[in-house]
Amino acid sequence: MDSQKAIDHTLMRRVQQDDYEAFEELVGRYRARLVNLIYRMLNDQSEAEDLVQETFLRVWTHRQDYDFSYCLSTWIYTIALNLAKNELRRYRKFKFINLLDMASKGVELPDPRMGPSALGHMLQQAIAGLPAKYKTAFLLRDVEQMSYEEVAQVLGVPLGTVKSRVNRARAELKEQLKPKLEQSRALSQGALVPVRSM
Amino acid sequence: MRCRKARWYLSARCDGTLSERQRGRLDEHLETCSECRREAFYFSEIVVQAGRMESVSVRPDFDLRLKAAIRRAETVPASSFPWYRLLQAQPWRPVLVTCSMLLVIGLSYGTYQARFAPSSGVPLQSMASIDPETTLEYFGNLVSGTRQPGLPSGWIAIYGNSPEARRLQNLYLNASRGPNNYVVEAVDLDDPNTKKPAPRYVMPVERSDDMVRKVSY
Repeated sequence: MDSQKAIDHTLMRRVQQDDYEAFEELVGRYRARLVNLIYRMLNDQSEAEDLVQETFLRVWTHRQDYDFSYCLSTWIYTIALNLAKNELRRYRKFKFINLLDMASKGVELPDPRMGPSALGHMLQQAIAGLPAKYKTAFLLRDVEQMSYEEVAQVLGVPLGTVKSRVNRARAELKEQLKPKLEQSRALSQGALVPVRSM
Repeated sequence: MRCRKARWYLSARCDGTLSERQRGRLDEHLETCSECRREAFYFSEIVVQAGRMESVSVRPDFDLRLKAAIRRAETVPASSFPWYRLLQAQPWRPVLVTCSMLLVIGLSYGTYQARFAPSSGVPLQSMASIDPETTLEYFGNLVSGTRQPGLPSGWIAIYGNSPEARRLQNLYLNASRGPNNYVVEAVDLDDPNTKKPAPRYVMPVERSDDMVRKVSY
C-alpha cells in the first residue's frame, strides 16, 4: 500500500509541474475503480463516467492545492463521492428514468431459480436499495477493499461510525438476500470461507 | 459465548479484526451452534460476493473526452466563472438561508404594518418619540387628581387647557383608534365644573405595558 502511495505522490509531483502524461497515468490508475464505485452508487454508467470525468477535471484544475500529507487516493475518492452525493440529492428531487436502461434491466433481471451465480447480480440490486450512507461505506470497504481507516478519511467520519455503517449495510443485505444465501449455503454445504486477513 | 455476542462478532470476523482470543471463542461457539454458523456463512458470503462483483468497463473514448474537457476548461477565461457557483459553495449555505429567512420575516412584517396595522394621524416618528413613562409623569403635572372613578380601567385623563396640555391632547386625539388602544380623556380645567369635570375629548393612546402599570393605580 505504501508503494502505491509513493507512486501516486511521484505522479502528482509531476502533474503539479503540468506533466499531462503523468496525469494520464494517474487517470489510468483510478479511472476504472472510480467509474465502478460511482456506477454502483447511481446505477447509471454514463452518469458515472461523466462524474468521474468531472472528478479528474477538478484534480487537474486544483493540482496545485493538493496537500502531500494526505493520501492521493483519499483526495480523489473524496472529490468523486462528493460529486456523487450531489447527484444523488438531485436524483431525489427529480427522478430521471432512462428508458434504455429500463429495457436492458428488464432483460437482465435474474430468475430466482438461477444458480448461485445470480447472487452477485442480486447483491448489486440490493446494494442499490441501501440508504446512501450505508451504501457508500459498504462499497468502499467491501467492494473497493479499503481499510476502515481509509474509508473514515474519505467519508470524513470517525472510525467507529464507519464500522457501524458497514455492519448495518451487511446486516441489511443479509436480510434482503436470505433466500438466495440459503440456496448458496446448501450448495456449498455451509463451509465458512476465511474472508479477510488484516 | 452466547449467540447474541457471537452475532455481534460475525461482521468483525469477516474483516479479520478479532483478537486471537475472541476468534477462538467465536469459532468454538460456531462449532456447536448451527444458527450462528448459518449467520456467519451469510455474512462471509456477502463480503466474498461483494469483492467479486462484476465491473463495468469504461468506454474507450473516456480519455479523449476528458482531454477535451480539460482543454475547454483551460481556454475559458477565469472571469467567466459563474458568480452563482460561489453561492453554491457549502460554507455559504447557512448564511444564505439566514439572510433569506430575515428577508422573508422583514417583508411579512412590512406588509402587515402597511395593510393591517392601525393607521396613525401622527407620524410614526412622533409616536415613537412618546415615552409613556415620561409622558405620564408629565401628565401628572397636568392631571388634576387621579383617574376619574367612573372611567373604565385603562383610561387616563389629560386635564388642562394650557398650550402644552392642548398639544398632548391633540397628539393623542390624532392617534389611531383600535382594540389595543387606551382612551385618554382630556378635560378643560377652566371649565366652571372643575370639581366634577366633564370629559372633553376621548382619545385613543397607543398601548404600552408601562402605561398599563401606570394607569392601573
